[in-house]
Amino acid sequence: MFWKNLFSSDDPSNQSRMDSSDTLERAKRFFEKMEQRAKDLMQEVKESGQLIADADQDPYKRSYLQFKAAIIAQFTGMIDKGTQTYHSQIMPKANFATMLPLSQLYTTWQTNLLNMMEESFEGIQERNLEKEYQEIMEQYNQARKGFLCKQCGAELEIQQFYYTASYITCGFCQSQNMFDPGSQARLVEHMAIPLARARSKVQYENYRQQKEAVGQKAATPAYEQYAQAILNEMNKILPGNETQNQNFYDRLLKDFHKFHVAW
Amino acid sequence: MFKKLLKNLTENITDVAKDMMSEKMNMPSGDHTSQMEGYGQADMQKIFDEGAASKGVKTPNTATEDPNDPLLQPVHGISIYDYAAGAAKIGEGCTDDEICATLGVERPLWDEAKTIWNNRMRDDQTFNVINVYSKYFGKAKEHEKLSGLKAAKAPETTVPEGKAAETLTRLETDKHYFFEIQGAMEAAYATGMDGAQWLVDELGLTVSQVNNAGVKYMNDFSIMAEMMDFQEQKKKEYSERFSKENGTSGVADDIEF
Amino acid sequence: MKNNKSSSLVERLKEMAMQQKREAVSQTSADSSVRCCKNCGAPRAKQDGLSKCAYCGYEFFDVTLTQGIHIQKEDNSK
Repeated sequence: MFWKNLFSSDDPSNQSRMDSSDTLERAKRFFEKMEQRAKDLMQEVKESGQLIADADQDPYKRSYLQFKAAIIAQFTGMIDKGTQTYHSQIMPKANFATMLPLSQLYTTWQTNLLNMMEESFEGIQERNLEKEYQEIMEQYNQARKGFLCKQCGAELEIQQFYYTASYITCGFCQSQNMFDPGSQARLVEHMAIPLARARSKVQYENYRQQKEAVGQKAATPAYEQYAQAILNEMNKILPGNETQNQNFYDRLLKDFHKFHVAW
Repeated sequence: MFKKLLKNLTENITDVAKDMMSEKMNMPSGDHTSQMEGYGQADMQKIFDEGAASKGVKTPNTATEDPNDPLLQPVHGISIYDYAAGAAKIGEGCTDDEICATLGVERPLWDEAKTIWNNRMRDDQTFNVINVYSKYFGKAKEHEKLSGLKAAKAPETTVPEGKAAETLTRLETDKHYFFEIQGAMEAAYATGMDGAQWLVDELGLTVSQVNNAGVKYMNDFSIMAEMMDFQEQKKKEYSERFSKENGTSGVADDIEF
Repeated sequence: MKNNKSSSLVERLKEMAMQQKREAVSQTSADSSVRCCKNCGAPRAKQDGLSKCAYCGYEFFDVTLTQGIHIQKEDNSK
């Protein structure tokens, strides 16, 4: 009698099993379609992203960032929609047999979408910092040769790279001239950290490998080497800033210990 | 939520988006108010302050201004208030030279002060300096020298000056309107627009002016918690409007369960 | 096969981003100047500091210089 009822199509528990297997199928189709759409979007971004970054002449790359923000919003919007649908339409129809597969379906799907969001922009070089930096320095080195003291007319020696307005003493009459390096040179201050990081990729990769092999705590010396490499580069890019750059190095290490190496 | 607010300042867009997503996904519904009510009658600002303190971090409420703090000493006579108010004015369209002339300092002094103040905020693990800066950023209107400074060349807009000034007052006094505009800005970026330019075109104001008007809201965690759902709702409404106007609706909008 | 929804969205977003009108970022070239005393016309010499005119005491600025990046406490006029 029990077995007959279990497989009887008139049995309400049988009806709910059919509903829930239907739910599982529908959920699979829904998440598959959403994932395919995300994949299509990722493909399009991978094809266009670098072209947009390269074409953007704004000094702050605002057009590329505007594009990127909208794409990120598309991905987060899809994840939102999937999450809302999962909680409000799918899970209420689940039973103890389908709860786990549905949950796994959702979790896998949202992990895939997050990965696709990241992958969309992987390898896209927002700006070629090294090229920009070299162009700015070339321009600066050309420009600084032509300055004359505004008091006595002698050649004004601008001996180093200044990224802020600075007082330069005339070697002949000792007058303090005010030197303004121009807007391009000023950008270097904001490029220093990302450029220093880009130049320290070898040390970074070494740290990553160490971390994989022996864990984060044991990889601390490798991270310190990476931080030191960044510091060395920053001192080259921003001469005279050594104290400030050292503070940044100290913060990098403090953060590493505080947020990554808890014990 | 604490984790998001304590984020390293140099984190990039995708990492922040990923973290926000993982927080959202752990919440069963979009209704944050019910989450807050789950904390009982607790003072959200107090909870946030205590949570932050446990990590050795200051908040706008708990930031201190110790006169002997080396990180808060003036740089070439330029105090953190001078710097913050100057930054607010630059956000309105004033130039560095206009700031210098008004403060009575020369450009090399101001440039070094900007670098040093920026670096102090960057390197301060306790977030105290940035919280003190934020407080003074919001008080630019009261700065002894800079309050009266008007940009010789403000951003181009068709919005009349009087109307823009009215909107600014409304942002300062109408909490709902302030968070509506925050939601609108987010919606603009999400639908492919330049949110900052939209503010200039639509309201005749810069991002800096808008944010300055609402510093007292942004520094109060209880208000932020209270207004989160409202801002989200407004963001949705503006997103629908902007995406229709621009043809940039969700790429998966047609897919149904 | 290109998905039309994704490709037309990306095209539209690209168009909006690249055609976005903004305030032009002002570009300035490197430049130099000398500031002389308003009272007596004397320039500032390195050894006399930056804040006061060594000849007539005119104040170029009334703030006290601290240990900065290139500008140091020693640059305060006595």
